[in-house]
Amino acid sequence: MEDILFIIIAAVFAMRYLLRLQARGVFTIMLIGLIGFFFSFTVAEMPPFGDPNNPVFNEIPARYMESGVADTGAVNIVSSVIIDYRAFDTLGEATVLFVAIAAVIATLKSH
Amino acid sequence: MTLEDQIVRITSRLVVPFIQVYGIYIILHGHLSPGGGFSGGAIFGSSLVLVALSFNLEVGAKQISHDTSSILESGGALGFILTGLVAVVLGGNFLSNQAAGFPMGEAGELFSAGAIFIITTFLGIKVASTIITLFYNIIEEEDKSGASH
Amino acid sequence: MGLEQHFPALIIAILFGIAFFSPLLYRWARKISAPALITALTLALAMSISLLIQVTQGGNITYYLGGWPPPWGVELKIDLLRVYMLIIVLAVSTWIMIYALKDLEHELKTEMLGWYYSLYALLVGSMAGITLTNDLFNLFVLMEICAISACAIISIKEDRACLEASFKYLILSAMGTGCFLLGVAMIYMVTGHLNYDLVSEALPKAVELYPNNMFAAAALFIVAFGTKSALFPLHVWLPDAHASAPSPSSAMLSGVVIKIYAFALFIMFYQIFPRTLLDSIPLNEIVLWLASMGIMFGSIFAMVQVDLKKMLAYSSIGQIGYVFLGIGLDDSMAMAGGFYHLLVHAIMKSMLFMAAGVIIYSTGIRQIKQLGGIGQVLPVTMLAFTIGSASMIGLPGTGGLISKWYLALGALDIGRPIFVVIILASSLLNAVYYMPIIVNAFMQQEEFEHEAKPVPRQMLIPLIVGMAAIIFFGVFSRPVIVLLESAMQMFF
Repeated sequence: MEDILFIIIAAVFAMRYLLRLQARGVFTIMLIGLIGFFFSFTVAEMPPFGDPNNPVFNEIPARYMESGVADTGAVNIVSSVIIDYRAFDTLGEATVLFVAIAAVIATLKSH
Repeated sequence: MTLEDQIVRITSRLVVPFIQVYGIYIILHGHLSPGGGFSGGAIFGSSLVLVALSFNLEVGAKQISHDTSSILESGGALGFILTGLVAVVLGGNFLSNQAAGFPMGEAGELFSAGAIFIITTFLGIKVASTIITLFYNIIEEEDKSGASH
Repeated sequence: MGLEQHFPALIIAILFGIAFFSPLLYRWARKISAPALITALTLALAMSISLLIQVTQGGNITYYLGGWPPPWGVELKIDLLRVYMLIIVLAVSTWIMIYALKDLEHELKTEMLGWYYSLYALLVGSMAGITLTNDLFNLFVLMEICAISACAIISIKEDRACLEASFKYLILSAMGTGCFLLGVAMIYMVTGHLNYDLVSEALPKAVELYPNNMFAAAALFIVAFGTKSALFPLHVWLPDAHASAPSPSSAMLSGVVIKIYAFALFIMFYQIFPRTLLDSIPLNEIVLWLASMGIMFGSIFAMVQVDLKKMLAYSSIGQIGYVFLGIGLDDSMAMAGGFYHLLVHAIMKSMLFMAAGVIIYSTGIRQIKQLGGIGQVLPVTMLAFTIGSASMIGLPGTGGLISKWYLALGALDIGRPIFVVIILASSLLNAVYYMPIIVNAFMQQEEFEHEAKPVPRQMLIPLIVGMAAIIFFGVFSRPVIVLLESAMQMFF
């Protein structure tokens, strides 16, 4: 444990020397390192990737795969999910594109 | 005009129709094969960006005028919402497909899957015009500020 | 049941529809584009009132988009609290838009008005969606729309300060959205659901199996919604953004947008996360102390400002603290007070920004110390400013008193009198920075030396409506409080 802490502190000071950072930059890097340290615990705890017993493999993908064609008529399951089952999210995404255009025009044309 | 320009122009003139056909294919086959409105629209839009890049902005703007592009932009998004509202008129919930009685056709055919086919087409139009509008707006702004400095 | 069962989806559809149409409409038929937007907003408001009647008569409503029930499709859900938020959003934004029609003419380039209407409708539509949706990913999509359009209605003004403020807001807001998406991914990974109700069913088991992930998700949610609603240490973007924007945008952003995220945080912590998680980490305490610090520091920063709109913006940091205080106190009376404050503050802060907009429109003054004697030339505006300030301070007869009263009662109810002290202290601080403006405006003997343009009636009528609303909610608070208390039953 102390070893890891020592390595982190040494790395921070090495970066300070290499990148010529101010004290504020060192503080930022240490804070990010701390957040990363805590997030590494969550990664260690996550359900294994691709395991069939994971919570995400529940009735939702089962229905999408088994009766997707009958429900929506689309052979492509991705399409049947994004444009039929969850069409409202896709309407939102199309709106994001529109709002991006509107924002770009509003910003560029007014200045 | 240098030789390099000539090569780029002739190549892009050759390639652009194929890119456009491919983009339309991807859009229309959204319910059958990987792809759909977003990716197909991006392919189609980038073909027009290619024209503008290899020739110049005026030639590019001749392919599709700014007005047309912004009408298509709004029209694609409006078409999406209207398809949802048609479902309400037909008696289903907003954005419903089979429940509202859109003609489903034979699964695997080109004209099938009811609202999915219609919405994918509108999305394709929308995304293509988004890419074109975004490109021209940013480029022209760059041009303008570059000229003024 | 006819069309009215589709109202939840139609509210969003009509607002997005007018947003997509409005640039074209502005090009083809310039005259009718503003009335069309007002009509759409009014129609949406009428539908939301119809939803309120439906909910009070027949209980909660659920709406399956695309006809697919929850685990597979996206669900909209309307209960008393959500319909209350929805009506606040739509009513306040309609009211601000009526004022904006005249104000925007002098703040924006004429050809940008069509895009402003479009962005405004998108902002309102996405906020209506955030109140109604019952699906985490859908909430994320709507938050994106809300964030980008909120930045764009700042940067649309031809002013370098606006660009800078808007860029800062965009970056921090994008960071907030990113944190939220990461939290949603963690929740989806361990529960396999996105629907609020199904997630909250699955979470108690998930918290036992994957505690670190759930703590991280809770932390990410606090950061995400805290950034977006300017909870105290994450408020840095707010003063610039709200002060430099065009006045209607300031009114909208300060009055409604930051509160939507406070509401979303409330939904996350009281509807989705299980009580066991709230017991094992002191989430409530964190929110309470951050809110208290926000209340104090927001008021202290506001005191030293010289720019009128900047002062109002800093005051918003303090006032959003009251809403978070209500959320953190975990007592039905305090929460009712917090949500009542959300309503009252939406009205009074929007009205104060509108009054500031009228002052800038008429005289071009932004500095507080130049406002001496302005009451003689702009009597209605300064009366509106006075009533808004009185409500900020919490004088009797205004809505501000009622919300502070219920917050204080709630704090006493759970035995935390320290928060009563904080509420009282901040009321005093509010008085310190609002009172001098009013006293100077009305009591100063010498003539007001700047010239003042006449103010169009269209800008004054919304102010009069706002004054009436603040006094109305200060006198007849009972129905709303009863509605809120029965809405809070759900969470206890």
